Amino acid sequence: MTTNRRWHSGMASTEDWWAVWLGLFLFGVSLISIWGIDLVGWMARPRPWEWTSLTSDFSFAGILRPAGAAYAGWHPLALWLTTYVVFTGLLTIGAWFQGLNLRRFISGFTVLFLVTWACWLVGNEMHLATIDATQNGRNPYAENGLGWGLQLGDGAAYLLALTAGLVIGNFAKGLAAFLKEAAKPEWFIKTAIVFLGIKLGVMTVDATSFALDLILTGAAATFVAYLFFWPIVYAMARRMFRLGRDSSAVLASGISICGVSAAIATAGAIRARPVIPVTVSMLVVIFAMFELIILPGVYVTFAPDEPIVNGAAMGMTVKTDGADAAAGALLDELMIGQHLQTAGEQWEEGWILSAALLTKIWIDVFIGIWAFLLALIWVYKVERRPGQVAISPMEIWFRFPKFVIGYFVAWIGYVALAAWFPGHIDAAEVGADTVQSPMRHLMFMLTFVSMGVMTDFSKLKGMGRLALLYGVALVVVIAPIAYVVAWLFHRGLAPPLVTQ
Amino acid sequence: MATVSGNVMASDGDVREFVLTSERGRWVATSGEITVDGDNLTELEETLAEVFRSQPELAKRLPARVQLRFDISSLPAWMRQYQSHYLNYSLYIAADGSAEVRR
Repeated sequence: MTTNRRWHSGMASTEDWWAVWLGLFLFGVSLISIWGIDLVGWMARPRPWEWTSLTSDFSFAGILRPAGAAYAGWHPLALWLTTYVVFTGLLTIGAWFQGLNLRRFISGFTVLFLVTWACWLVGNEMHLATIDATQNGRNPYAENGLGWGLQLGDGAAYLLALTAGLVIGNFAKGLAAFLKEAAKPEWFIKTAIVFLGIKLGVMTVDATSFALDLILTGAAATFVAYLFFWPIVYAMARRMFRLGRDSSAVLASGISICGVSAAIATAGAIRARPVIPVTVSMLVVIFAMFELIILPGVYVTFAPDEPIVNGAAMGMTVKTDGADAAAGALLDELMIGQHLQTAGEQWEEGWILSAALLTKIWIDVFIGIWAFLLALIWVYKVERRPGQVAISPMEIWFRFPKFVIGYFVAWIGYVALAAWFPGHIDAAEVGADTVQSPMRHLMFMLTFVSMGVMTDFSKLKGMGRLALLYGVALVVVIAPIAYVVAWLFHRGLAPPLVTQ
Repeated sequence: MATVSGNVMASDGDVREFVLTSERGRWVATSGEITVDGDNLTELEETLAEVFRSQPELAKRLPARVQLRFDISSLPAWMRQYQSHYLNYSLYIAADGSAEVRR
């Protein structure tokens, strides 16, 4: 039984903390490049390829390349195998500490890894990914004589990964059950978010005021949104759907704050029966998948010139870290691709995703505080048992999302390095770029596949009023308010342009 | 209506930690051979206090602090990745048998 007895409880046994350890470990190893030794450049990354040229003259070097120049002499398959061995090894250590079944974890992860890489490689086929635009004097679309193309950028691989996962989760349930021990979307995405802290560090060095603006307005937007979300959804649940107080509160937190985490924290704080957060959590996860599928396309179609508004609105609307980061990454790719096509200029990658994540991270941080406040409100105002508080202020720490620590340590660490040792930052970037780019993309890809595997739409059957309320609240309350608030705080903001 | 089952044995030693679960919509607290349940936690706490008052071995130990720790493993495995605990708190049972929740 896992319980929180001390402030350091769970540091070795929860995936939240293991995202921090893995993320910071690889960040630390990458920084050895400061001394001229690239210890992470073995990471394999896909190379854009075109199917006719590949079939006529196949070589692994045509589809795979190393992340670091120091590994240019390695055979592509050796790079790929090293990537598999290192990631499987590191994640298995974490799985062991978390008490997972190692045999099932390793076998399941191996299959997940293969599916992920298959999607990643296919997603880099030029007809799917390459965008018809000239950048830095080159147009790969024209140079390769592509007659047609979906022009989805890196979004093609993400969409394929999600589709593959959903097919497994809904049509190959035996395989999904086999993969369950290894399909950990929240762990994968939290590790990716720690990697993203490095990316934010790199971006902050290049555009400090824009990064700070994004962070502060993200916090303000989140605060304003929550003044509306929770009370409106709670009132809807009580008055329109006639739900009980406990169910209404748990559902309002689940849909307003941060999905499953908030549902559990709220239910614990108000001493609701566990069946309530279990039901709400199932709704959260399934509806998050709908949001991930629908929202990026909607935002790109209807607001192509508001990239940061779209990202921030995504962060306030999608209710699991995994789905939000995944939707943010997809939005980032699709918006950059569309803007490049229509305006001929390329936004820097990562800013739209960061807007989605920063708002979400503020929301995550808010969970513990809200759980504590709600416990006080419930005891003093609802149940009227003054003094009978079953929750301590330490709850704020216990409910605090620990991966956020890794994100901020990576971000501030990188910025501090640039500020204090400016002469070393170019060398540091050699290793850091591998972690924040191909390694982060790999964790995102694993997240997309895992989320699909874990999503079984048939679970919506029998959810009745709760599912209806969730859907109505999402469409009528959460999404519109989130968008208006995001627009008020972020309108007109756009990522810096890529310059060479 | 709450029910109580089990007896306090001398070998139970210091019976102060209860594992809390929810079964078929009812809260259940278990420690050794003592099992207490209730429709809601307030009812369960009252019943628990009654057990401490009525069982001589436990009554001798009053005042007592009872730690109620929810068995997180009773939640579905996929949910546990989001939060590592659900509900843990203390119930203070005074020498006169009255009970009070404390954080």
